[in-house]
Order: sequence, then structure tokens, then C-alpha cells
Amino acid sequence: MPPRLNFHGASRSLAIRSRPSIALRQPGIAQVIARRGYAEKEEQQPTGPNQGGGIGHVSEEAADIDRVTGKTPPDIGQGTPVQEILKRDQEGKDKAPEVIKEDIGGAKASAETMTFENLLAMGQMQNVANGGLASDPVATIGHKYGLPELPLPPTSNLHYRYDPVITQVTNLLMKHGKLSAAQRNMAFILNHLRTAPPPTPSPAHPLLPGSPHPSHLPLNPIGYLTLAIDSIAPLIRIRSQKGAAGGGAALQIPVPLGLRQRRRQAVEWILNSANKKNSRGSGKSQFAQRFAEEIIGVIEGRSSVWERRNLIHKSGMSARANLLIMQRRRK
Amino acid sequence: MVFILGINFPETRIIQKSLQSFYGIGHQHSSRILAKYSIIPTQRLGGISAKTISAITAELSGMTIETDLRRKMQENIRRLRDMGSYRGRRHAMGLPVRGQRTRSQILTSRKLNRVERFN
Amino acid sequence: MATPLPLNCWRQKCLSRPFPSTRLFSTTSTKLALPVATKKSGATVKGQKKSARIKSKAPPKSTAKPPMPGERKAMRKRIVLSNTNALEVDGLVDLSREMTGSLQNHAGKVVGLEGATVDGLRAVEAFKTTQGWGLFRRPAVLIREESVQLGRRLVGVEQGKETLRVVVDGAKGTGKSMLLLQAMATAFVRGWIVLNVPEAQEVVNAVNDYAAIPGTTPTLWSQPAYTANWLAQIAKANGPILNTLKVSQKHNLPITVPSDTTLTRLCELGARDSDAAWPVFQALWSEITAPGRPPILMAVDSLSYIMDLSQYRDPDFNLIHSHDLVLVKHLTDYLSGTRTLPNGGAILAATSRSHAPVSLSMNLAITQQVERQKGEEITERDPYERKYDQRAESSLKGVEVLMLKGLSKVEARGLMEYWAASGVLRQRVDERTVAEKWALAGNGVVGEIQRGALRMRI
Repeated sequence: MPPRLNFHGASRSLAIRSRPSIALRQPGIAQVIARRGYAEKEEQQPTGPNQGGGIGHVSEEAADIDRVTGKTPPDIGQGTPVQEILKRDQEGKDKAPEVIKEDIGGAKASAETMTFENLLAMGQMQNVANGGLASDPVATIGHKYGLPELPLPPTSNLHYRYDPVITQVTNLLMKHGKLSAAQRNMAFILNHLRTAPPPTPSPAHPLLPGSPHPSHLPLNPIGYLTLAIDSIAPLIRIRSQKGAAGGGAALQIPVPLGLRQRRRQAVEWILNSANKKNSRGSGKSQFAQRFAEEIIGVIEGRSSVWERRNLIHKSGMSARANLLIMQRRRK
Repeated sequence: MVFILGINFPETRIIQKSLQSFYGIGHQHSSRILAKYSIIPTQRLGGISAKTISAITAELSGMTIETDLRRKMQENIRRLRDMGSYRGRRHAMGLPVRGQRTRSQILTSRKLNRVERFN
Repeated sequence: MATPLPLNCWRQKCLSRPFPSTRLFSTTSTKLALPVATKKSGATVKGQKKSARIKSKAPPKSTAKPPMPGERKAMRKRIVLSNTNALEVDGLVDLSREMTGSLQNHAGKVVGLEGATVDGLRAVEAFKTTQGWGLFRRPAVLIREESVQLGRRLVGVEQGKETLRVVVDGAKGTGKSMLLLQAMATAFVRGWIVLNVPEAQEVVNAVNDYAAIPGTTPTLWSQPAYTANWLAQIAKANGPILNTLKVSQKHNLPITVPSDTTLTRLCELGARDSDAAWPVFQALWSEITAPGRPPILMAVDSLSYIMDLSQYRDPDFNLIHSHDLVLVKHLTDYLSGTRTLPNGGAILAATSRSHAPVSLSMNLAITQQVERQKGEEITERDPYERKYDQRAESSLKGVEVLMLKGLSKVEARGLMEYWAASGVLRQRVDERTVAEKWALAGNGVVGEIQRGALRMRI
């Protein structure tokens, strides 16, 4: 028996795929971020194909052409109201309904007279007309103060209002969970850096390449602090792999550190060294003062922290060969 | 060095502290003595005139302090003991006098409570 | 100390009274008993558990030289008025005599203080450690609306030879002490004599010696050391003026003062001998209030301290009222209006709203006066409240109140532009940043603006 023809089945396999009215969330391509950065890392914002330079959408193009030819360009900010079009179109104006004729003479139809839903719908239509999706965000209507510019600046969030270095160092200064005291110390440190005489860096311990002139540092205390920390931040740490050298002996393996890890290590060293100093006076700000003095000492190459950094780097260099051993093992 | 009631104190000592070093003078009495001679509580001995010091010494010699006070207390305890009262007996045994429990923590009574009590 | 008593101790001790009324039934057992072995200290019995020995490691001794007496305090109280790293602000005009008459032309702007004024202000301890002077190249103050008002009044009383009595009040961080400083700066540039009590707390909290003044009923109390110090301060701050003035009257003083002495010298003589300090101050006062002498500005900070009982005690161990301290009485007499300054002048008092005792009477007087100035219904005193102070209340009767609020946005902008020009604020100062800082600082509370913008503590 021949198989029965099943139309339903055939139709089932045919799909009418229209454009979705709601955009699917597409996972962005993961940005390749270098594992290790420097102080002045300035991350480039990823740009999509529609961002940046290129030809604008239809209305923008029309506006540009109108501007060049000397005509009144359409208002791109909002959907162009009928009244605006009729102003330019004398024939259409004559044939327009009575209501609109009255309206042109009197009050001009503006965004205020329209309800929010209308404006929203119009904005969505505008989006579709522009080749986008209806679900795209509708700009500049219904907001008293306008929408914020996107992407939001990183400091706009309550919890990230300070510079990332400041936040990290403040948290490292904190004892017993007393954030406010740590912040007070941080404020003192920055003020001390501001008021102390400009440092004179030593050639024996060069700072980060591209660092500003030392006389510019005091007026930029955050930069001052960041420069000191990043200058002594070690690139690697030494991991002891037990038994890897054979006979139970530990093998020293250099491991690269991330940006935050490097800074953390640097601050730990500075803290250690600041804690060993003696206070010169009394009061709450004495620890902060010692820490600030240590920062200046780092910039001027006086601090003992430089030796620790060099030691780590030197042993890292000598343990370089162990990386090969580990790789061979893995094979 | 400043002499108060035959005792020598360094000049940098705070006067209230030196007064309180006498047996029988505590915060209350020392504050009142200072108020009587218009001396501030943080005054050091070096800043007080010799006249005021001698007046304070005279004031102290009129009070029942040090040996007199110790003797008075010892007499009181001996009286209790001689009467054969419970309080006297507890003093003699070195046990708490005022009805405290004695299962643990009676170190203070062991240290202090005796017929010839010294402080 | 307490060695454990032998078991039969209570029998031996408590039951055997000093007189032989009772005896033990038998003494054999005690006599035959072995003597109690005394434990040798340090000897350990074999098999006995050793208690855990905690190593007490002595903390490392610091080899550094300890600070000298008073050095730590000096460091804490140190006032730095200059930051060589900060940029010099172009076009910063200094506060001058001509300017004080027409401060409204500089409203919302920052004006500098010239060297002589700064010296005077430093000598009267008008600068405070918390005011952030150390961030800028040189001291400068913001002329705000209230400064204009107060400046106009000061010029007015100078011409009319009246006594201006003002209490400056406002929330924490609104610039009360700074307004006092501005008034003192104005007084210095206009050639007034300035007397300042930088912190009223020090007058009443019983850290300076005191003595009863004989022959006064009720007894008044002088503070010799504080007065001597104050005289030295007055001499140093007002040196340029007092040097030109000579003693013109006869005074009955415990020290010999040659005639034709300058008033600076008189102050210094008083400062040297603390027992003579108060009589010398009285002599000085009668000299500077004599006809033809310059106007006087008196300023007190943290008013509520002197509106209550002090910490001093009288011989009967009662607390002395602040107004019985003769130095405080001198100030409150002028504040209450019972005495007036014949050559014109002002007494200004600022309250402290951060760490000062609550004086109910002062608060009530201020509230009532503010309502009176606004023409509102006046708050009555709470009939169930006991802690009012009658004397404080009467001393504040009829005092004008200058209530400080936050800065206006224009003033805030002027201040922030100055900060930016000094290089201390690294931000573009535009409408948006000003509005942001102003709003975050509780509608322009100036201390909070500084905290948010300069100290980076939000």
C-alpha cells in the first residue's frame, strides 16, 4: 500500500518565519582581555557594525539631503507630526480635514498634547520605519529629564563611585570590617599626597614608563597612588609545586598575576612596611600618615618594597625553566 | 618633691592621685578637698603653692585616715569576734560575711577577712 | 596569697574562741597526723601533667626616640595654611578695607586674606584644623549672602557706635565658625580690636586653674592662667593697633605699670604674671573702651558650653554656673545687652552642632528669636521641662540670630571654581557637577560639599 499522503505533516515542516517582534538576546562575543594590564589601560569599547561612522538610517539620510539642498529637514528627534508635513506641503494642506486645518492655525500639536501610549507607539513605529525592531528602546519621550547616556559611566553605581584603585586599597586598609575608618584613612592619605612636596624619583628604581612628571603628581593624588602601586606591583608569583622536582622536593613555578592580584600584592607589601614604621605623633591619622609616607618612599625609590619586587622577579626568571618541565609532564 | 602628711610625692604627680594614695581617701573625699581649695582635678603637685599644700596637710591630719582608720576597723572586727557573733566568726574563718554563697569565688574574702585585717 | 587551708581549719579557728570555753574532744588525731607536705615550687612529680606553658614573648622594643612632652599634641593641633603644590589662583583679590563696605560686589566669589590679616587670625586662633586650609596656596574665604549681610552690619555699627549682638546658628557644617572668621577678618582690615574665645569649652571644663575673687557677692571666679594666655593672644593679634595706644588712666593694679606704657606692653605685663592677669585685663578694657578708641569685636565659638553649669566646683562642692566665671560674665554681659561698647563694636557667638552639650535655654531662645524675626507665632517654653537655665535665657534675650543654611548654587559654583582653579578639584565645574554636589550635600551644606568634592568621602 502506498503511503498516504499527509498534507498536515508537510505543512508542519513548512514554517513561516516572520521577523520576531521581540529581539532575541544574542550573547555578545566575549571580549578578549589581556590577562595583565598596566596602569593606563584604557579599554576600547567594543563597537558593533551599526555603531560609529557609516550611513545613518533613512530619516537621517533624508535630513542630511534636506540640509544640503536648503530645505527644512524633518525633525529626527521625534516622529514627524502631520502638521509639520502639511506645513511644507501646500496641496496637502488645502485638502486636509477641517480639524487639522484649525490646528495648524492655532496651537501647534506637540509632544505634550499626546498621551504617553501614543508617543510610545509612535516611537516604536519610528523604530520599525528606521529598520529596527519595535522592541528597541524608544528615545526621549515621557522622561522629564531625558534618559541617561548609555553606557552608564562606571562610577554611576552607588557601590562603584570611587576609582577602582581607591576602592581596592581602601578595602585592603580596612580592619575588623570598619569601612568608614578605612575611608577616613584613605582621605587622609590622598590629602597627604596632595600637600607633601613633589617627589624626586630615583633612577635606580624607574617608575612605570609613560608616567607623568613628578611635579604633576601631587595635584593628582589618585594617579600618584596608582603610579606607586603599579610601579612596584609584581608581574608574577612563585608557586611551589610539591614533589614536582622529584624525590618530594618542591618545584618553583612562576605564575602570572592579574591586574587586581598584582595591585593587591603591592599594597600588602606597602602595608607591611608601613606597619613597621614608628608614628611621629598621636591621633587617628598616624597610621594613614605612615602609609602615605611609604607611598612617597616608593616613588622616590627609598622603600624596601622595591627589593621584594626585584627578588620575586629574579627568582621568577631563574624558575623559568620549570615551566617547560611542567609542560612536558602534562604531555 | 612635695611632702603631704610626711609622704614624698614627685611634682609631676596629679594631686588627686596622690591624695587617693592615702588609705581612707577615695574619689569622693579627694574631690571635696580639691573643691575646698579651688584646685582643678587635673592639677599637678608642682603647680600648687606651698601654703595650699600645708593647708591640705592640716586638713588631712584632722581626718581619720591611714593607721587610725585601720585601727578603727580592726577594733570593729575584734568587737564582733569577741561577742561571738556570726559576722565575727565569718571574719575569723576568712569566709564571706554577708551571706554570699561559698561554692566558688570567695578569693577576696579569703584574702581580706581576718580578725587582724590590714586593709 | 591564699594557700588552701587544711581541712580541719574551720574547727581550729572558728570554734576555739579566745577564752577557753570550749575544747576539742580529742587532740590525738591532729598530733599524730603527718605534717602537710609543702609543695616545692617548680618541682614536678613524675607522671604529673605539666600545665601548658605559654611562651610570653616580650613585644619588640622600639629604639626610636619617643616624642617630647607636648609634641604629639602640637602635631595634632598644628594648623597649616599653605600648600605649595596647589596652584596660585589668578585674579584672586584680597579682602581690604574698601571692599568690606561693599561686599555685595563680591558675593558668590572667593576673596583672599592678606598677610597681616592672616597673622592676626592665626594669633586669635580663628583657624581650625578641620577647615581644610592646608589644601590651598593661601587662605581665602567665600563671600556668601550672610557674609555680605554681616559685613554691612559691622560697617553700620562702626559708624553708628552701636553694639551688634548676633548668635550665628545653623546645622553642622554650614559654616558658622567660618562666618566668625570672616567677621574677624573684616574687623582686622577695618582696624578694630579683636578678642576671640576660640573654643568656649576650654573656659568651662575645669582644665584651667581658678580662684575666687575676694569681695564679690555672689562670688565670682577668675581664671588666672587662661586670662594671662588670652592677654598674650590679644597683644599678639592686635599689636599694630595696641602699639599706637598708650595708657591714659590711673589703674589700681597689683603690678607697677609705668605711665606712658603702650597697651601691648600692658597686655604683656599681665600675661607674664597670671595672678595679675584679671586686674590687667580690666585695666585694658577700660582703656580700649575709653572715648576715641577703635571699635571692638568679641567672638565666641561653641556657645552652648557657656550657657550651663561649668565643671568647676565651689568650696561647698556645688558646680559653679558658667556665668559666675568672670571671663564668661564679661562676654555674656555684652551678649545680653546689659553693657554696651561705647566706641561701637560687636559680639558674635557661634553655636556648635556637632559635639557640644545641649542647652535647652539656648535652643529655645534661638528658636523664639528666629520666629520673631520672621513674624511667626512664638514657641512657648515647655512647662514640664526642668532643665531650662534662667540665667542663660536672660543672657540671650533680644540677641539677633543669623541662621545659616546651605549655599545657593551660585555660591557653590563660585567655591568650586576656586577649588578647580587651585588644582585641587579635578573635575569640570559646570551646571551639572555643581547641581550634583549641591544636591548630595543636603542642598548646599558647605562642609558636605567640601567633603564630597575635595575629601572624596561621599
